[in-house]
Amino acid sequence: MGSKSKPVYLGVDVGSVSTNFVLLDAEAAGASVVWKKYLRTQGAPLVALKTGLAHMAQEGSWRIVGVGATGSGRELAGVVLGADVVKNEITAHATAALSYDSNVSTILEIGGQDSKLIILRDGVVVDFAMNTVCAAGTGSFLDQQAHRLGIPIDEFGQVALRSTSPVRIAGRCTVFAESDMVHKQQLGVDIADIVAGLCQAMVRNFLSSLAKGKELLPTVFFQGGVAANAGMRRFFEETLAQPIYIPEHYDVMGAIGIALLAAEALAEGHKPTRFLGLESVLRSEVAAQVYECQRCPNACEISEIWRDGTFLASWGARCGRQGRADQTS
Amino acid sequence: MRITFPHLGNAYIAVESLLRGLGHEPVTPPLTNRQTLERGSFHSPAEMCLPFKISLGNMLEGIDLGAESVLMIGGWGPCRLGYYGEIQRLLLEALGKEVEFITLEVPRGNYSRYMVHLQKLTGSTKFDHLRSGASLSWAKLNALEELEILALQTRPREKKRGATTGYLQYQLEQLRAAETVQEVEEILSTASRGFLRLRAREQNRPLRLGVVGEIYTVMDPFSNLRLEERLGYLGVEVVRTISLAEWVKNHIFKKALGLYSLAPLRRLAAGYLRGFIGGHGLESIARSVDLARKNLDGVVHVLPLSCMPEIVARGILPRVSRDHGIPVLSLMVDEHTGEGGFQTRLEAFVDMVQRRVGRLGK
Amino acid sequence: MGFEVITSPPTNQEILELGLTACVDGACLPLKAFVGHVRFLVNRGLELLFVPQAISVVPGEYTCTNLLGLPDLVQQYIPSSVRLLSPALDARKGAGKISFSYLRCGLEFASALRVLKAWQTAQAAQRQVDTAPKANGSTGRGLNILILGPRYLTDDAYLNGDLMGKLAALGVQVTAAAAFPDSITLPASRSLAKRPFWTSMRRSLGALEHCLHRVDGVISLAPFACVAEAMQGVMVAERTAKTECAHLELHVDEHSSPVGLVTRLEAFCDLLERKRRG
Repeated sequence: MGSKSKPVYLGVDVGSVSTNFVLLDAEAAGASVVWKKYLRTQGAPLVALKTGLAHMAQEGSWRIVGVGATGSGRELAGVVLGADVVKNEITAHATAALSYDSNVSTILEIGGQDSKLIILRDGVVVDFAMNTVCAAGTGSFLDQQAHRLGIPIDEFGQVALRSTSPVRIAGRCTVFAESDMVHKQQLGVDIADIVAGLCQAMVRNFLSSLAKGKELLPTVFFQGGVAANAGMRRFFEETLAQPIYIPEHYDVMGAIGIALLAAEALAEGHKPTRFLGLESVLRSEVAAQVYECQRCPNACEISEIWRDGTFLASWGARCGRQGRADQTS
Repeated sequence: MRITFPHLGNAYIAVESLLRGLGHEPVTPPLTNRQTLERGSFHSPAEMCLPFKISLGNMLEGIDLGAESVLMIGGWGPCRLGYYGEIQRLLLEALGKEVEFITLEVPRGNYSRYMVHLQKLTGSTKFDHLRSGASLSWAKLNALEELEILALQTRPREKKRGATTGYLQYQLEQLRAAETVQEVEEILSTASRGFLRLRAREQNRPLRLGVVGEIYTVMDPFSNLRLEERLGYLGVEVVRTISLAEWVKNHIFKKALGLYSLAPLRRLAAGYLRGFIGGHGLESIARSVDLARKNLDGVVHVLPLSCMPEIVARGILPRVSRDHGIPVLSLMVDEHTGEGGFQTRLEAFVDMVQRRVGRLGK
Repeated sequence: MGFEVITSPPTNQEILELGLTACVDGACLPLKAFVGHVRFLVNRGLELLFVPQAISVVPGEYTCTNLLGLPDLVQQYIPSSVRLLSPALDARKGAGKISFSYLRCGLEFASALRVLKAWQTAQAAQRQVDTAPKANGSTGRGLNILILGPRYLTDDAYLNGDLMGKLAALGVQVTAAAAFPDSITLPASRSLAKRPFWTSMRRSLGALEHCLHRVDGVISLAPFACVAEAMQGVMVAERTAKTECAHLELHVDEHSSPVGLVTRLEAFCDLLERKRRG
């Protein structure tokens, strides 16, 4: 890369549904997004990672001065890229929101695979809740239902806004919500009212499963892929009786946050980045292997990462052994 | 008699000695693993809680190894655990397992049944033999908890990741093989020096988090997804509030003598709970208050799904957290708990506590 | 006692909703409904809320573990302006302790004589309810069904999806376990290897032993994901299988659908009828 390339921080958020990339201008203060990408993970995080980086290399000339990885695939991404910071997505989301508004006290986040509520006071996370159990509270569920009703997901929110009397859709579980919806559809209820009812049910589920006993004070941020849904925003505003702010890059806040954390860590440590370099990541053959360890009855599921035939890292072993790397040494 | 029993953390080391002292052959099931849970779940009603399913799985695996009897603890309420043995007995019977089911509990009603149980257990053992077995078992129970605590203090400070867990495993194996109280003491003194050698030179004071909650899920690493280890690797020194030896002392010896009193716990939980609510609910609240007073950085509360006393405690803990300025994380575990989400919660909690401590300049 | 008493109506959609939106996760449906009743009452404006802590109502036994923590749970959902009145009812050391507990609780508000009088009136009223006609439904099809389960479910038509009404409509005679007095269920439960130490479970199993050869079928009614009821289910299944008595398990939660319930009840009654005809 030439010296004319722009210095940037790379943030990667690898989730089970989507993998998001963000580049932040290293010379600007705060979060100045110069490039972003939203890709489907489709069960293959390694492929998604490489595809994203390939897009990045094509769409500009960058000098990466720091890398952060977050999301459920953060360990994997961290090893493959040589990330400077590997952190959970709750901390990342909070960091990103704070960079937009230091007064944020509540973050509602609904992504493809889970939903989160983060409570902050004076710029510090003081409480959080996360729902990973129930699919009915996630973006994937909305996607599915939009598909079933034959409405493009981008228009889902607008359709919901047309409704004058949303129907009541019961249940917090996908199965229940779906069967109730089918029932309402058969009764001939207007589609807009069903869509609105679905959004309302999601808001209700979100608040009853995550917000019980918590004080949702302003300023309230709504982020994650589902924040694009205007219907959801309206029902959150109605239920909480206060304005909800949706940040400009609501869909990649995790990636922004982790890039900021990487910048912070590198500045603190006065260290150069551990990033392996775009070309070397793109050129190398990275393979993941998952197998059941037979060394004890725990039968842990071990994930191993190999690059060009060399062992990189492994996790999953409850005994703390480093997979086969330990056996060979 | 070849006797098997359900696991609770590393307690098998003490139970084995006790059974040997009674002149029996202990049949220790394999350490709880995924297969254990799968088997236990398969033969249990879906609603039963994690401890029930795991212990049933342990029994089945013990029976596979040739056990003729199953030893289980009982009770007379209000905790549901007191009735688990009876249900497990019925389930094993329905599976056609011809085993003697021995429930350890204070007799009530049908006394002859208990005399038979007791006789089967003590058999013709000589009193001296029994006494030495019991004291060896007691020494091992105390020692294994001491080893575990040393590991909790060492892990966040270890030089090489994983070294503590490996060393603990090694010392537990030594302890298991020990045949006299003296050997047990020697192992302890070697280990306390050994753990010190694993430590890196201290940089920062690690965060200190206390763990409270329902006794089984707190003590059993399989059901809490190795919570203590995970926290250790995140640089946290875990402070236990529950000890099995303490529990045995309080609930078996002191209660039998009428010396056990909830008054100190009640005093700590004053203003939050009116008193005993079954299980460990009162303890969870009282200990959290205690941890806050001892200036710990946070509390992790562990409970199995559908454990009512702990669910009440869970509802009250946010208030304790506000009043005493101590962050609290409640973790509900069942067989569907995903490792990913669990780990993310722990990391986010540790981050949160870290930032808070940094800001308070503790 | 001279109080103006405000009671909540039988459980309905509004009350359940109040409970569902506030009650801590992991609680069972009846508990959520209870919290709903509490919130409903609080909205009506009151100074004192009566929620006793029922630890034990029969010597040597406990009530459901959920009831032990009930006042402490409820405390979280009431404003500080409402005072919680919750005498501990603990019959572990004798049934007389319960009367004593009520009396002591009342002394703060009235003279001993008046409290005693009130207590006697209350007991008489309760006795009248408890000794009301035991069986209901119709004998149209000549089928007899025993309903097992805690009273807070069998007696709450909204929570159990009007089970009794639906069975009556099917022409079935229904008896709930709670209708049998302890003088029947206590001796009957002695034949069990280990007598359950929860009153509701002991009553259910005692009633089952008493009725095994007198009814056509048994329906267990349980809150979804209740551990105690799951254990009871194992024992009921064992007993009914041994005696070839038909058994249907029903779990209720906020997602239960009334349509599914009718289908299952109809099928169960058909099965009983076929069995009876041989």
